[in-house]
Amino acid sequence: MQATDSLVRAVLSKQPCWLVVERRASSRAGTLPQCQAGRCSRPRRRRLLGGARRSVSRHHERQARPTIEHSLPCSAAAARVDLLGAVGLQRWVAATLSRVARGGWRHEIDVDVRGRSRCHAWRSCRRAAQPEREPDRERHQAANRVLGQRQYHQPTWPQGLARVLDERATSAPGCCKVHAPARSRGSLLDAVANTAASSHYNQRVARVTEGLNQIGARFLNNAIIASAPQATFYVMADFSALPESVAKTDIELQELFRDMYKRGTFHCVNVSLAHICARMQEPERSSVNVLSRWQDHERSESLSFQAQRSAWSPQPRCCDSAVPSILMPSKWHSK
Amino acid sequence: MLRFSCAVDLDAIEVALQVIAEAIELALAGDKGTVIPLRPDE
Repeated sequence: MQATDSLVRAVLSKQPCWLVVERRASSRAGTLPQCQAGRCSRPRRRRLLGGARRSVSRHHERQARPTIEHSLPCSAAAARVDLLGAVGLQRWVAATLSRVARGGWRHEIDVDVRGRSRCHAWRSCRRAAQPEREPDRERHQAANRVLGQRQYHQPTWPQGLARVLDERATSAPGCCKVHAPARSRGSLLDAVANTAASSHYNQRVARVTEGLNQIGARFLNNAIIASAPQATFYVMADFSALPESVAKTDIELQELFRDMYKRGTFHCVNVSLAHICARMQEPERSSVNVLSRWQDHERSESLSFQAQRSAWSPQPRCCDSAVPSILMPSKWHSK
Repeated sequence: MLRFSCAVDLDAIEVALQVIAEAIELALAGDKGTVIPLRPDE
């Protein structure tokens, strides 16, 4: 019970995770009702999360098994329990364990990760069952906005998932076997890495890392400047191999990059601000206003390249002495 | 340590890397400090 509780807490702390409970009912597994393929979720969910028995539709009553089955997760292979209701999930786990203990059933708990937010999935399930009520629709839409890709790809996310899987693998409660397939961790982490948004960032991170290391190989005696980060799209670059005559501090180095446009190195018509921006790691060395402005800038959706059609851009927003950035020509917009 | 944000267009990354390489090359060559004014008022 303690192991399962800790599992639930761990899963609940990771919002994009779904808890997939898969029941192994030995010889009776093949007779699970066919209607429980995860499409008609509303009555099932209410029942799973402690809803009244009368909320179970007649359709499910006919096909549900008479004892503990319809309170267990019920898809043909697995049932998804959305994590919107933490209290309800806790109650469901407790009830399930109690029934499993009394009935001698064995079930396996698996953690599944989907490339979509929980509300998307829950909403799609409910759409098949009945139209949503307006308050639910608004609540789900608001939750979807919160649980968008940005939150789904929090930097600590894969590590948290790995911790959950490790915890699951080492737990062994008495009446309930928490099962961890050998390939689950690797496959789930692969699933995380192969989502569309992850591949988008991974591609760019890989290019930046490769380019910086090429610079190190070319100018800095094969110095390894950067390495690919785990689960972030920030690349930390170490330019300490540069001689002090070039830049004594990181600020000087940033100013060097920032002022490159003044050298006229790139003879292009347009100059715009590169949104790839080198800045100091320690935020306290930058002014608060500039830092907050940058945070707002990064939060905004206008992370794409901003080209200006004038001959030269005016003083760029990030071209501040405290937080220098890279100015670059927009040659692909010059036409 | 400098932090590079990579949530940008790939073309922007390529040009930014080019700028960095150019800056380091010029700096190592002792050309640091030579600023060509682009406009008279700069």
